[in-house]
Amino acid sequence: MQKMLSNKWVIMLFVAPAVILYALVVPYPLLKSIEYSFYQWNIIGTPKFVGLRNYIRIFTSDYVFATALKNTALFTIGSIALQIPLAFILAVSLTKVTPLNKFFKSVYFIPCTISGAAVSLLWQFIYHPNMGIINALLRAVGLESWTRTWLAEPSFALWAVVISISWQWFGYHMVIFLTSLSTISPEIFEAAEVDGATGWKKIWYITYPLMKPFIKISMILITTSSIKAFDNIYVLTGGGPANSSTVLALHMYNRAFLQLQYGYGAALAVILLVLCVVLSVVLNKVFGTKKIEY
Amino acid sequence: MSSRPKYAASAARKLKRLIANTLLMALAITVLYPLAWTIMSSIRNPQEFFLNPWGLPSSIEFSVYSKVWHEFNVGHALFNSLTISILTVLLSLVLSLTASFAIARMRWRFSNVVLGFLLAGLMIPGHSTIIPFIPQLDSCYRSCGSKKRDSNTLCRGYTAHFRFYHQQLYAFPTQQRGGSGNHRWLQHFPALLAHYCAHEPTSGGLGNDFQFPRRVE
Repeated sequence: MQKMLSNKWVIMLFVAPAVILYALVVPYPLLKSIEYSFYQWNIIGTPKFVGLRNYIRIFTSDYVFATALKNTALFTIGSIALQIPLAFILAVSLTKVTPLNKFFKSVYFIPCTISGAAVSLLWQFIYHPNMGIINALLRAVGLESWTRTWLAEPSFALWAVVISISWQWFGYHMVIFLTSLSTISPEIFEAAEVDGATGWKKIWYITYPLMKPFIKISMILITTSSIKAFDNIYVLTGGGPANSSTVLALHMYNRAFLQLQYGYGAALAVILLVLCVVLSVVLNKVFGTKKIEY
Repeated sequence: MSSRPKYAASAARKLKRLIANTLLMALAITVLYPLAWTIMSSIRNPQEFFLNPWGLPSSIEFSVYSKVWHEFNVGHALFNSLTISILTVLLSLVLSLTASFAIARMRWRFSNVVLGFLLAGLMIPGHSTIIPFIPQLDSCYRSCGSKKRDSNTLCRGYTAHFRFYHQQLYAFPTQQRGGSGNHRWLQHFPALLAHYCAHEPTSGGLGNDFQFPRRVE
């Protein structure tokens, strides 16, 4: 058995299928993507090498890119600001295992199990200017003047998507935090209580530092998925009105698949990739990997 | 003497608990109500839907279901989703099980390199690998013996594929209309499936970051 476990051919047999398929589907197209980003190509004709011209155009004359970049940043910050504090508070207040808490936990998790497209369709009705429940509620309490055509409002369209995304995913991060809370041994809390720590102090000095690695995971998950955000925005606002809710992935989709500028789209895809990797690394560095123990 | 402050403290705690539970319940309603609304709207009379969209339905009918089933070819879409899910689960199970066993339990020099190589995929957005799939799909068309390779069909096929890919990631296509060629994507099937299988183990692992694979000695 030991001999078999270190046999070169057996190892190859175990690893090769996964590595080969993975290499064909992730690293290889990635390198191809980088290659295409130096070409001008509309899929029908032959690709024409243009050097860095795609990138120069993106950074100098593509005003939609600037909007998309700004929107992606706002989208990320908004999603983090809405989801992480809420998930943290929920996790802390639902730690105790009671039937009621179990009910809350399972209810909050339901939206994550639904497809993003379905959630977005649902929210389209919620935001609907005539039939939507938000405007209906505002009218019911006499705030007629606050009613809006929410999704057609350039200053609100992006936040509308952020709200719907947060509605869908806060339960997911709550579960991550609950898992992390269950890894903290109750003795630590008992010791803190003996030392006189109560309520908020306990949360701030004990729970929060111990949960930091998990907050980091949630932050990275939200950041990378915000950079990749596509389907919710595509269904809910389509990037409009007037590009006010366009994000990078949507811009790439429009350029590559609607305007058939594949080289240009590939260059945008490379920028997307660089952003994802850089932000993951930066977040990792900022939060540190040092383990805190008491 | 000492019973009064104790009583007050427990009353305060009860009040706090009540407030907390009310807030939690309010949040639970904001989550549940839209979901319940979706179900209610689906069994409501379609005319009533526009008159009273947010209240309880006055009568229950299932006409919308049969309409959707027949007009939007849901049966076929469901079949497609099921096929993709089952094959993806099976293939990615086999691939990730063997690979992780080899990395965790077998002794070889490059196991950490391979682990890093596979895990690096976590950071790579699917978007940046989708564009080069066009030529891959192109050869896929050819190997499937499709003669319809005029550029227009191709481009539309790819766009549909891209949208399809996005919807399929969430397992149930919502906009799969009859006219857009329900069968055509079957020609993309090998490439699509490969894409899923390679992405699934990694993105599944992303959610399970707690169980980050470690070498067992």
